[in-house]
Amino acid sequence: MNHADVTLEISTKDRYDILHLCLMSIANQTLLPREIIIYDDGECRDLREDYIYKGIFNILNLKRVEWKVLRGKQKGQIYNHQQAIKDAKYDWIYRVDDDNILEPNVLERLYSYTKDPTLGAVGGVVVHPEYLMPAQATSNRIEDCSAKYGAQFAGFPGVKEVDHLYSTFLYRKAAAKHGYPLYLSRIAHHEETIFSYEMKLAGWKLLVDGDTVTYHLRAPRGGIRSPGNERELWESDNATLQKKLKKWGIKPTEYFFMLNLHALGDNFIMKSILPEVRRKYPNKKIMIGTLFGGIYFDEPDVEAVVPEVVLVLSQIPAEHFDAYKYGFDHNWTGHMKDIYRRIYNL
Amino acid sequence: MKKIALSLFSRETPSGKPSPKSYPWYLELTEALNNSGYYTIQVGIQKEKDIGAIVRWNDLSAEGLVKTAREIDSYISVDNFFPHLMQYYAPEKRGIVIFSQSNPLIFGYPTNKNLLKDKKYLKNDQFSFWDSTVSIKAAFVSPEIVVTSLKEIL
Repeated sequence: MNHADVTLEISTKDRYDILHLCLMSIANQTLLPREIIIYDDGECRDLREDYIYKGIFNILNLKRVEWKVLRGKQKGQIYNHQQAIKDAKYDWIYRVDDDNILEPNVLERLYSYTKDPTLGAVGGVVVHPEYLMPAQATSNRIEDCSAKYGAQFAGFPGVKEVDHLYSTFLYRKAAAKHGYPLYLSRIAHHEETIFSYEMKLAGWKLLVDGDTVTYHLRAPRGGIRSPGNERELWESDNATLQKKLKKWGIKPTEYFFMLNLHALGDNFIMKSILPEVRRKYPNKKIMIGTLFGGIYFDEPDVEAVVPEVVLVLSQIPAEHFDAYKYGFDHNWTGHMKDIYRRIYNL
Repeated sequence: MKKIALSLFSRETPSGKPSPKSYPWYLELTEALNNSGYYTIQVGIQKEKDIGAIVRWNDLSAEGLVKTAREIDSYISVDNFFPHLMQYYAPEKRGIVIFSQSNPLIFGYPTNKNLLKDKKYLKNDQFSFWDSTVSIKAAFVSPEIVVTSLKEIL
């Protein structure tokens, strides 16, 4: 059994029916953490009374992994993460979500990067098994953090340097002196982005290993970021992130989304309205979802992507962009180009 | 010799049927153009039928299509991508566009010579898929009219 000088911490809330899957995947790592701390923000059951947990803790004992379950601060997971910086015995802290399942080699791969004295944090790919994110919908740049998903959302070969991390990652305690953004709301949306980018600002390197896979089950119950009835908290955290970006001197990317699921000729018609789009939306970057991305080779400011990317990022239904549906619905007798002008409010 | 691009086929329908927009007398038309002294260039894809042009340019990249648009003197096309390409990259070059069941007021450009044989052939719903549209040979103008029209615009 190989061990790394790593404290693994999990903040959890009322997800006892899934936490054991996470713990078992940790127990099966090819390189084990020396310490596990679980912060329980929920009803704080004594997990040793549950035969599944009892078994897992016994396995961890056999594998010489020290573990403890602590009562969380009940103020949101970000406070538990902050507490972990104080409580961790080791210089490297591996934060894992309670609904994550790790492939067996994750810690071994992530830890292999820690020899680099400039490394602040390293994460792997976090796959949502119900939906594989297209790589074009992700970005490793901080200016894209509101417009695209983080680099950890899609697999890629090799390793790349990133501006921020969004999910589970291994980080150097010494790189976390700035602490977590406790000024966020209880749900702490974007806390990983702010926390990790501030590491980068302090001169630490951030990496994502594209071949390291953790599955994120996105448990529909429990947890701290319960969606739905706390919309104002999400919006408040979004606003806080925007303020931080401004403070950092980052101009966030805003996209103007276009989509064409029709033939090549329709794409040329749509292309012909681009000068009007630029005039009307001068501060937005144009993203076009198309099956004929090659025809935009001479439009360097246009990001041509597969159609799915526009649908994922814009959250606008495809029919909104459908010029033929528009023509049919409006008994259109004018030119096609004018339909595109209407669709894009030109 | 004037270089004339010929794009006489439209893409197959989603279910793989030949497009009702494709020109049925492509052999006769090309032969007439060759005999009239034009340098004919078939612009299309590998799998489409050979129309007997002097040269054939298949499966061009976007850059290749743009180069073509700038090289040719004019073109004869059905209602497919080609007139839209030309309108974007070489709007000063007039072309002949052969319509049949689609409406040139919606899909054409007034700077071109749009040949519509008769409005009676126009599809009722101009925005429906072509899969359910039956091909009508009689809806197309003859090769002679096409050649005469080309001579008029050159």
